[in-house]
Amino acid sequence: MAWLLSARRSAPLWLRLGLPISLIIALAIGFISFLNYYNYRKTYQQLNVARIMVVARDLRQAIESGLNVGLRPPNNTQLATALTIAKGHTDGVRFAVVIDEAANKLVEVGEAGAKQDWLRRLQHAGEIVSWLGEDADTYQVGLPFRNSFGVIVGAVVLGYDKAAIDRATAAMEFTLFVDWIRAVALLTALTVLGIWWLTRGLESELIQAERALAHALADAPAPDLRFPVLGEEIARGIPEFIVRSRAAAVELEKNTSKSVQ
Amino acid sequence: MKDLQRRLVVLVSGLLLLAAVFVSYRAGEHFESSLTQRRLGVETEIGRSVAVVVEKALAFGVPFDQLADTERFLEAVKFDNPGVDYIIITTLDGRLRYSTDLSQISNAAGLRGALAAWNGRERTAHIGKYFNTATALNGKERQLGWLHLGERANIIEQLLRDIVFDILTVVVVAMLVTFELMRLLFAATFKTPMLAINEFFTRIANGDFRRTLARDLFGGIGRLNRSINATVAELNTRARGRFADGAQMPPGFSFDLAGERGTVRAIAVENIRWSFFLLIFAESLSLSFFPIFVAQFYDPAFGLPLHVVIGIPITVFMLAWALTMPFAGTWCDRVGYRLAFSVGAAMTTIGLVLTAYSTSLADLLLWRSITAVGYGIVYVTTQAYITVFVSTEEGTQGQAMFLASFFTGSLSGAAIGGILVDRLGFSTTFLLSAGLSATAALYVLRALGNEIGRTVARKSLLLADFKALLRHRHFAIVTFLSAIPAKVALAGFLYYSVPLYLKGLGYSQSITGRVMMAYGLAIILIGPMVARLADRARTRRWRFIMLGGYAAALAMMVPLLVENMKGAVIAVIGLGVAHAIGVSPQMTLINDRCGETIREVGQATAVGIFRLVERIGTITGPILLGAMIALSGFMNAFAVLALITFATTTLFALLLWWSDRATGPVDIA
Repeated sequence: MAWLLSARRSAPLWLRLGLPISLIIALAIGFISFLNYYNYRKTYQQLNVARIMVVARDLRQAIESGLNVGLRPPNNTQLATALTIAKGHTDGVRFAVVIDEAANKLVEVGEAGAKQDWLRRLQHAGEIVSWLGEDADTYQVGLPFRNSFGVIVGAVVLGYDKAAIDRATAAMEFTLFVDWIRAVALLTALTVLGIWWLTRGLESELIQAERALAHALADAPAPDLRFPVLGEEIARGIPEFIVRSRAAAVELEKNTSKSVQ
Repeated sequence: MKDLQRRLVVLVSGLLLLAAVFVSYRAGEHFESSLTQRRLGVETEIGRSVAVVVEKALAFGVPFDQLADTERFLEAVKFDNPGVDYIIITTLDGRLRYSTDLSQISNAAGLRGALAAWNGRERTAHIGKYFNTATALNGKERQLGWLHLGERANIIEQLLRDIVFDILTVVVVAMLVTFELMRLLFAATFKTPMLAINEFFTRIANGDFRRTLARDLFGGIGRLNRSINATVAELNTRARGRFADGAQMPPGFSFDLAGERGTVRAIAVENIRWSFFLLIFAESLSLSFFPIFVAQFYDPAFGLPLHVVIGIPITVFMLAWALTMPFAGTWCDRVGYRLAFSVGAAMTTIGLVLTAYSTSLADLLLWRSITAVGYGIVYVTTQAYITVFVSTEEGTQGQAMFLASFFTGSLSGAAIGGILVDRLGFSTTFLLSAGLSATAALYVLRALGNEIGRTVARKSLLLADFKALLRHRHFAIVTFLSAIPAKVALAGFLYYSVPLYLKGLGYSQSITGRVMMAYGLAIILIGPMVARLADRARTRRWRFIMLGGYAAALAMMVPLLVENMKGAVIAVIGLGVAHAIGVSPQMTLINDRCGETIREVGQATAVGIFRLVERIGTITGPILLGAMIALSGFMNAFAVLALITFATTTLFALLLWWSDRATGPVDIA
């Protein structure tokens, strides 16, 4: 932009106004596109969570049913099968883990990363029904489960592929970006055209004014200017400036002659 | 020239709207295919989950047509999954065996018919207004039936309905920011160079050739500067040459003989308006997430509840801001607007940078106080600048412009900050705010001349300044009977009661936020229009304050007449309209009626004192409303507040009317 802002004679008004205005519009619709993308990403992730949550709720149901008849998760032979089925049948699930209240893994299908914040999550579980977390490779849904006394004694955690989700949202980001580029290209053309149309009168008056001012100290008669767009004040002011400048030049000349004599 | 600018604004608005519709429509199209698939993935999972339970029962040998309590189970599943409209289990030939309540389903008979004709080839199909997802139900050896899950087919419409207000909000914010930028661009291209050239020609008419015009960067009217300067430079060169030769300078003309190259600068309030907007925008970026940011520093060892701790930095900020204003005003009167604004913006910048690196609550309180002091300086400086440099005939328009800038910056910043923090995190967002605030400081340093207030009072803030103003009958009438009640309504009704009222009605915070946004929008859109009328009324400007007061009283009565959300929305918009009518003329009226006293204490000092005293309303509003709501409920509290506003407005009108009758027509100071 610097080349444009520097006072170059070659850049006409429609370009000088058109490009910054196009830039402003581009930023504004970029912001709208960004919000649209942001809403999309949020909704996409919510839908994924809703899908995984259905599976997690079933697993929690299975665990709590076992606990009600005195079967702890490691002793619940059906549980490992249920986890395997859940992982196998649910698109994108990388692991399914049942943990106790100290976040020790009791049953695991798939491989969860070593560094997890499950203990902290469980400690802060309180009345919450579920939590959403993530590690380097997965987004996670955690559902605490309770024993028959209503005490939280562990949680079932399902981790699903982060890369697949990020790829899908990134694809949408790119699509929206392409739309933004198209909109900006079209809008820039329309803006510049519209501004050229609206400012052509002003541009021509500015050129006339510049021509008149370029000969301010010449001997030609002071121009009679009419500027419907620039206004009366400038139309009167320029000839007056020219007259006054010539008068000053003449006076300077006179005084010089006097001093030389 | 104004006509051209108006046409350009219409062109840009049209194109911006067109672009907003285009990108949003295209986005909706893309979302439809992607999100529909995802949503159907959820349905499939729910179907599978139900099917597993049913199949378990079948595996135990329960006959398919004798599954006990199935309807209740299906209703429970539907309840757990709010997107699901129906769950139906049919036999293989499509006869309905079990289902959720179908009375709410549109065209249930048509749905039954479609399911009877189900061929099972496609698992997902469009049936009437629903997307139907089918899952096979298998017995021991063979398939026994189908499980159908239905969801309204207009998934995207529903999703868009949820986010339509977000999109509208962002379109409004984008337009507000666009217009602020355009106003600056048009001022730099047309208005400022035009003013400068006209002022320059006036000097030339008096034979003064000592100054030139500033170098133009925008290529608008300022393009003429180059040719004009070339002529003046030529004359000055000749004059210096003659002067060096010992010639006398011609009488009636003055030239730049020492080569000082002074420039003629036009005073355009747009320059400070833009910087003010930018700074308010920068500070407001943190509005939406600030409580969450403060909560990070909470430690139960403080012995205070979390919500109290969250409130402390906000209270400290407000207090520091309010207390700074009179001192800032006096200081601004002493050092001039450019320096005062720049220092204020620099302090805000430093405060924001330090806030980004806060490590404890004590740190945070200190850094927020620094930010508030800077913010207070900028606030008072800007209002005083506008008061001084906007002509008396357009005084109310100037104040309306000030308020509109404040609310535009505040609304836009809050809306964008919430989105930014999600991507950038707390620290980076604060640093971005600091960057914008620094830009405001630098812009003012470059764009503003070294204007000192025309009503400058070079002294420290004295108790006598407060006394002089508060003893002035008209200052007291406007402040105590109009400004403070307006702040009571703003803080007590809008900021305190409306969120509680809407929460009581079961509305979320985001909906409450949008309702409250309507207040700012009313000020932005209606304020400047009404101000033009108020300026035309000249000596009868006070009637606009009266009208605004009565409109505010009426607005606060609306929840009594129209219950629920509709009443709250009308009341908030009504209060915005009322304040758009009545608040902008307050400062102008004070200037009109207290000119002599203001000249004694200084313009910015008067603004600072007025703003500080007005804060009595901000502090008492929530306390007053809180007590009234606790004693008699929302409706009675609203009624009492409306009556108080009505009473103070009537008293205001009567006192001014009597005062004017006693002293005769008022001359505008």
